[in-house]
Parts: sequence; C-alpha cells; structure tokens
Amino acid sequence: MHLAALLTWALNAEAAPPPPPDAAECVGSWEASVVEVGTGEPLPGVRVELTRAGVRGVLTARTDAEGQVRIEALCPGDVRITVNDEEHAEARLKVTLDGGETTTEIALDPLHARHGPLVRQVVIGGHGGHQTGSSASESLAGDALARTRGKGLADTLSEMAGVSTLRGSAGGMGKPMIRGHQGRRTMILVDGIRHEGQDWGIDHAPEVDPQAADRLTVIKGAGTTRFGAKALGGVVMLQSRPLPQRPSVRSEVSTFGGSNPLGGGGAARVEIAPPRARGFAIRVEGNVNRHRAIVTPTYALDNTGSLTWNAGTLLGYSSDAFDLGVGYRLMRSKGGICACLRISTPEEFEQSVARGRPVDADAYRADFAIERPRQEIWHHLAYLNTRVRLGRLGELHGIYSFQYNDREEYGVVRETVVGPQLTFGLATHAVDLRLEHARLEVGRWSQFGTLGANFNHQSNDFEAASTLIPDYKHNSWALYNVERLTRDRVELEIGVRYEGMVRDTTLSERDYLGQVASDRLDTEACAAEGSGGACQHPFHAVSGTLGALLWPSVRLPEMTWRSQLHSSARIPSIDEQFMNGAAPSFPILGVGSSTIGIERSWGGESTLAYDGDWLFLEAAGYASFIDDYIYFVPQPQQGQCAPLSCTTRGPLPVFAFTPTDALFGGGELRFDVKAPRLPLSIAGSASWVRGQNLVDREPLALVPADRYVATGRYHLPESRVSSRAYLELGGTLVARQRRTPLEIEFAPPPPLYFLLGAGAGAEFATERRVVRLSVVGNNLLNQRYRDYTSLLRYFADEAGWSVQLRLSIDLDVELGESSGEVAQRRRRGRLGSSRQRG
Amino acid sequence: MFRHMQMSCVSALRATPRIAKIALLALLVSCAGDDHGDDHGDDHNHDNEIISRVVLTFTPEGGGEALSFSFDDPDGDGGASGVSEQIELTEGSTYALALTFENALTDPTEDITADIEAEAEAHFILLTGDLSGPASTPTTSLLSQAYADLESDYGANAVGEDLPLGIRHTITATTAGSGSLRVMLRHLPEVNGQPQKTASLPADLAAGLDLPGSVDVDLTFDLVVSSP
Repeated sequence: MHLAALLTWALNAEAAPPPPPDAAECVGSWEASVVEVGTGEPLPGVRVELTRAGVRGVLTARTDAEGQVRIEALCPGDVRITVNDEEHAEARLKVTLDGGETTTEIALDPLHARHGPLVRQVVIGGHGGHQTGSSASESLAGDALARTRGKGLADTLSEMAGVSTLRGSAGGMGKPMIRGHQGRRTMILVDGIRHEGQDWGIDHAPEVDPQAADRLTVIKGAGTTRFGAKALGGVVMLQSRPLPQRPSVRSEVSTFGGSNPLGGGGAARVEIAPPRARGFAIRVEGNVNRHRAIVTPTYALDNTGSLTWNAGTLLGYSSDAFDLGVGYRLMRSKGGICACLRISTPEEFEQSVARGRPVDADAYRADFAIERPRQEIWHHLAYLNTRVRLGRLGELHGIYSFQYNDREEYGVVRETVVGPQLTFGLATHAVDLRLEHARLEVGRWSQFGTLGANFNHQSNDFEAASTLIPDYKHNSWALYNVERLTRDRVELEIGVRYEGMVRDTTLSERDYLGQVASDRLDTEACAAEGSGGACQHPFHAVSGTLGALLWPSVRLPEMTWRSQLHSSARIPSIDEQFMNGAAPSFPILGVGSSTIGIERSWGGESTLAYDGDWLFLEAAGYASFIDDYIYFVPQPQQGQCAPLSCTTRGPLPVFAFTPTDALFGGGELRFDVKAPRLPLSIAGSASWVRGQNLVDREPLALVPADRYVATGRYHLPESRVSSRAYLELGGTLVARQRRTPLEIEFAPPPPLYFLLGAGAGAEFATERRVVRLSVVGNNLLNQRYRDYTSLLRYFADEAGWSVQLRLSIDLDVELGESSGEVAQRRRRGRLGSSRQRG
Repeated sequence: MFRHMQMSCVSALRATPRIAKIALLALLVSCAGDDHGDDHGDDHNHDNEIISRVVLTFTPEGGGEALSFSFDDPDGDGGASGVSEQIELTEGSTYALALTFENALTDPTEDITADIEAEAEAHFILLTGDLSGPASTPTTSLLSQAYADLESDYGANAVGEDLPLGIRHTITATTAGSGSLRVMLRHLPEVNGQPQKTASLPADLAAGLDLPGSVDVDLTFDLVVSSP
C-alpha cells in the first residue's frame, strides 16, 4: 500500500471531532479501572495519559492500589487515552465523554509470562521491581523501541545510561558493554533462554534478533543469583510478549530504510488466537535487513555491507493452570569485515594510526557485495516452555532449549583457497526449572520466592588449519534460591546460587605440544591422549546477593531507593583457559592459561529514583572489587625474538590471560522533564565508568569514556489524524578516555567527539490500527570521529551523517464474537472496553 | 551415542539447503531417532594457506653447493616462538637466491610457493636490511640485490606493468661483516578492481612509507658475510 493511501485510510477511520465546548461545560469526569488480561488482577501504579483533540498538553494520572484512576473537570467530546506500564503492553483507546461521569474498563496484555494468583506479587506503588528486583535496570519498549527497529542489539541499547558498545570491525556489528563489562561477563537472555554463541571473540556480535523483542531490559549490575555466574557484569533481556490470550489476530508490519549505510529492510509478525480453540495461539514472524558498506565523512569503509534475516514461530496453549509453548528461531547473518583491517608490520601499524586514514582508502567503495574477509553465521534456537500450577505449592516453570551456533570466518586468501578459514559449531542443550512458591505470610511480611535449577550441556567443534580454541564439552548445573520479603514500603531480597561445571577439553597435537612447551598447561588436569592431549577441569562457584527496595517517603510515593550488595563468582571462559593463536587483524598472539580459576567480585550499588508525572530523575552509583580479575596483558617471551615471539609474520607480542585484582566503579544520572503546561520536554543522561588494575596500579584497558546525552523534544498538538507527534534535537558528547594503560594500548585514545542528532515522529492511531512514522538523523554535522571502545579506531573513522526512516503498522482484530458484539467493541476502543454512564 | 546424535544433526544442518533449514524443528525431531552418524563432522573445506616455514636457498653462481637457511615455526600461530637460522655467505660471491614457502603444519608438508607464483600479480617479495636493492638503500650494506624474475615468468601478465615477484633474486655479498636480512611477502589483491601492486612499492618501503595489502611473511634473519 502506498504511504498516501495508508494515511488516507488512517484519516478516514477517524470521525471529525466536535467543536470545543465552553469551559463552563467542562464538569465531566472520567474514571477507569485497569486490569491484566488473563488474570483479571487490578493493576496499581499504571500511568494513564489523556489527550484532547485540539488541546495542547497531556493530563496524566496513575491508578491507585485498586487499579482505579479518575480525572475530573473534563469537557464533553472525544479524548484519547494511553495506558503505560513497564510490565504490560501499551494500550490506547478513544473515549467519548458526555459531560457526566464516564467509566471505562481497560485490560492490559502482560509482557511477562503468566503467573497464578498465589505467586503473583503485589507491586507496591506500581513502580517496577517486578522482574529486576533490587538491581538497577532500564527498559526499552513501545514507541521508544519502535524507533530503534533495524538496528543491531548493541546499537539498540546504546542510548541507555551506562550501556555502551564494543564495536567490531564489520558493518554495524558490536556487542553491548554494561558498566564497562562485555562478552564473557554479561549474559543475554532471549525469552528467558541464555544465549549461547562464541561470545568470547572480541569481534563476535551476539547472534540475537532485537526485532523479535517487545521489551529490552538491561540489568546494570550483577544478576548472578537469578541468572548465572556469567551475569557478573550485567544482563540483557529480550522479551517477546506472551501470545494473545483472547481470540484475536494481531499483526505488525514494519519497514525501515537508512542513508548510511544505504539499505533497509522489513519485518512482519502475525499472532492468531483462534476462537474455536480457546487457549491456543500461534505466532509467525520474520525480518530481513540488507545494507551496503558504511561511509565515513571522507571515505567508504570498504566491504562492511551486511545481510541478516530472521524467522521464528511459537505455538502455545495457555490456561489458568497450565501453559505450554513450542518455538523455533533462526538467524542468518553475513557481514563483511572492513578492508581497512589488515595484517601489517608493527611499524606500518603505527604509521597507519599516525596517518589517521587507511593506506588504500582511495580505492574504497560502498558496495552491497560482501567479500572476504567476512563472517557468516547461522543461529538456531528451538525451545519448549511450560508453566504448571501446583496448587498451594506455587507454580513450576520449565524451559528446555537447544541452540546451535554455526559460525564461519573467511579470511583474505589466495584464490586457490575456497571455504572458510575458521569454523565453529557450538551446540547447547539447556534445561531450566524454577518453582515460584506461593506467597507466605510471615508476620507483617509477605514472602515470595523462586527456587531454581539449571542443567546445561555444551559442545564446541572448532576447525581450522591453525590453533585458536580447542574443542570442548561441558556439563554445568546450578541451584538457586531468591526470596523476597515485602511490607508497606519495604522490599528485601536475598539470593544465593551454586553453580558447578565440568569442562572436558580436547587439544590437538600441535596445540597440546605448543602449550606444554610454553608451560601453560595445567599438569594436574591435563594429560597426553592420542596424539594430542585432554584436560578436565571442575569448577564450583557460589554467589549471593542482598538487596532492598524502599519507598523512603510516604508523601513521595514516586521516590524509590534500590540498593544491592553482592558477591559473584565467574567460571573462566574457554578462551581464558586455552586460547592459543593469533588475534584476527591485530599484530598480537593471544594465549590462555588452563591454571586460571574462578574470578570473584564483591560489590554494591545504589539507585535513587523519582518517577513523577512530569519529572523522572535517577541517580545510580556502584563499585565492585574483582579478585583474580582475568585480564589480557602482554607477557614477555623467551627465545630468538625475546621479549616478543617469532612468527612468519614477524615478531609479535604475546598477550596472556592473567589474573589480577581490579576495582570498577562509576555512576549514571538520568532525567526526563516534561514541562507541565508547555509542549516541551527534555531528557538526558550521563554515564561514568572507572576501572583500575590494583596490582599494576594503572587504569584498565577498554573502559568506556564518559558520555553525556541530551535530547529536547517539541510535542505537536494532537490533531484529527495524528497523535504524539514530535520534533526532537539532541546530542551525544563522548569525552576522551584519559585513563588508559600505556603499555597495553596500541594507539592513543581518540579525542572527544560530539554527535548531533535530530528526529521527528508521529502516530496515526485508530481503534485497531496504529501507524507509526519516524525519521532520525545521526551525526548530522558529519563529524569525523573514532571511539575508544571500537576496534575500528586503530584503522579507520566511524560512520558519517545518516538519516533513517521507519514506518510500522500494528493491527489488532478481535475474533469470536457475533457481528453485533464486534461492532459494539469497535465503538469502545482498541484494547479496552468502555461503559458509558449517563 | 549422545555425541553421535548431535554430530549427525550438525552434519545434516550443514548439508541442508538454505531454505530447508527453516524446517529445523522437523529436522531436530527426526535427528532424535538417528544415532548412526559418523564420529566427526569434518567437511575438509578448511583449505588454508598458513606459511609456517620459509627456506632461502643461495646457489653460488660459479658452482658449488647450494646453501639453505630456514625459518620454522612448528606450532604456527601458537604461543611457542619460531626459530630462524643464521645466513652465512662469502664476500665476493654472487648467488642465485630462491625462496620457498611451506605449510609444515600439514602432513605431508604443503608447498605454497606455486600458489604465490600463480598469483604473481597480487604478491610482491621485498628484501630489506643490510643490503642495497630496490627496497633498501642503507648507507653501508653487506649485500646487493636485484630481482631475477618477472610476473610473466609465472604466467601471462594481464594487469599493469610486468613487475618482479621476488621468488628469485641475484645476490652479491659485497662486504664482510654481520647484520640482518629481512624478507617480506606482501599479499596485494586488487581493491575494487584497482591493482595494489605497483612499481613504486620497493621505493616506498625504502622511503619508510607504509604499503597497501597484508603481510603474509615478515622475517628477519641474522646475516654474516665472511672474507673468503
């Protein structure tokens, strides 16, 4: 459908508003009760926004403890209502006020899995705490998430305070860094399933599809007791909303296009809950995204084009007592690596850094073709989840998942060579069981809790002509318990987790002999086997958290204070133990040590937040000491090229994973101010991260620089056609990272940079359709810049200016009612129903 | 049995056409009953061109036994250091120098030299150190060097000038003394149809400029030229 036709369609669906009445007539009131779909539970603390056609400004209110909200002094006429809550899908409806008392019932679709009444937690004041407990977190959902469609995971999250991107060398690839931790110290969960990929690789972006998520949440701190030892630095959760629980057809179609990199894509999702099979529902979704190479202000980053597509389906049954879901997701990704990354002599590397421009940049072109070097990935995820209500005991939730991560890396080789140079196959079976026990009343306290167990079997098959990481198999298991005690304005959380693992590693002959020769093999755990060697390492890790969520003031229920103390233990990853090879494109050799043991952190964090109707303010601070922090440091070598190691490509420094002691600390500030009577708002954040190597008494490498973001927004008045239209202008300032370890850096950190951004957007909503249109401009001053946490910074600049356009259409149709009921519902509103009282 | 099941599923995945991979769920179910897969999913497409050993063979022009000096890194890019032999030549002698590049990590050893010759227009071998030649102009030198081959020696010269490749050189030991000899093999594939191998590369290297392409080999040998 053409855009013009679409707009006409949206326009015609709206009735013309009546002329604004006199102020004297404005004595009506509107009252609503907000409940959850499925459970019918009232939802307290939900934000309700009311906008009137032709009137600037928004009336905001929150539901009380019974899920009720009331707004008075309203004129007769149509009003638009938007209902927002972190845990539920946004609802919007149109209500016709007649000047008297109007009552509406609004039912919100939950974004979380269904919970029975005995385990359901009372959310005090409505302000979060539901899933992230006493940890600091930030979520992206609704239209804020819609404005990021088409971006990779790291870029989608990069505007969150305290979250930055470790950018790789390929087009748009990167991995999220949470408060300075990435990869091995962060965990990604896709609908509760731990993502398993080759995430140790510094240029391996996580193989997950952010477009399949309806909410993205980042836990900015240790999530170890709930999620696992790897979550020491933080957790990224991608959550899709549950399948529809009422007979309906929900669909979403979206498309996006960008100027730099030039390209675009589209996504579609259909969910059907048929009326004849109550409780059953199916979702089918897919998306594709293709772009050509990125262009910097002065040259193209040759060969950074990419092609990604995703497909997924979920079939589910849901009832009060039992849920079952079977799903499958597939990701295919092909991404070129910038031709600017090349193997050079150490002298040339330094010259290239000093020149600030790739030596062959004049020949670079922005093409769609993806040549060598490139990465090609298939990622499969098949899963089965269930929820069983166990009477007075509580509820049992279970997930079985199988993932297969198939990664191929193609180097620049002579033409006679075909096929990839590195192939990784990572297969993971995981079972996750958790019992959410029924609420216990302990004096004046209510106690909720989860008892959980995990089992995970993983095997890795690596093939290449050179050594890098060995094949391994591991079995790991975990037991955990997180309990929450709540009363009045206090919520306490205590969690403990034990995690065990046995890792069996098989070393090829050359790998084994090389590691024995360089004295890096753990002689107690490793022995010769066949022509190579085999190692077996058991690990045991215990983590604990103690947290509190307080509402410090009775008069200020919008204010919360979260604090957490934690001690977390992390099991070393495969590369930290056994890496033995060249880092791609960097003039270094990397080696692990199989004697490395558990890394343990001791830390605390605290977040004070005020979430009022026109002001949101949050300040967070954290610090953690990491004992035996596994760090990648240069290691002097013996031999002909001492202190370097002789290779055919010249003498190279050897970097080894070595335990040290580290101290991390920092803070974030976030604010969002909506001027009460003016159509203006301003939002912003500041993030600071510090990392210190306590043994060498110098800063840690790869700690993100200080970052400041601010965006001002002008809200256009509601019109007959459009709603929530805005124009915005903003900027990001990233300081120069002055705290760097001189010995480890390959190049001086890049200077401060400022990126100017602007955007505009509007929604064209009818009762069943929402059309969202947005345009975003990035780096509009076409600033040449490099980022300290981007691997590209040693070789080339980052992207120049770009404009992106996004259009999405959500369409909901309820099924299973007589045509009279459907017509009646259509009058009532899209996701809610309205009862008029005269 | 568990491993067998898994590997056979994996092999099936690799062999399955792209479109059919969407039906993985069905495949997984069918794999569950399949336990007769082979033990390892090797598909032998890991052709590689690792160079772990480089041999410099100096054949005296006036006749006599050829002298061979090698660099060998028996664990490839593993953490163990490679070792180069000291080059020992006689003052006043002229030698035909031939280079061979090998991957000794495979059994039998693979000779990469022919692959380099076949792509002579995308490779350039440059010699520097204590020798004077196209890529090196030190104030004092122990050797003088001239290229003894051209791209057209290894096949039709299709692109640009007929430049040397550098598999063969003529070396004259001019002065007795000790120093070093650096051997660099550059891989210079075209970038978007634009040749990267140009006649000026040796002079650029001598002038201390950085060169395009990637470094496949960069070795430094100790060099001793003794009086006859």
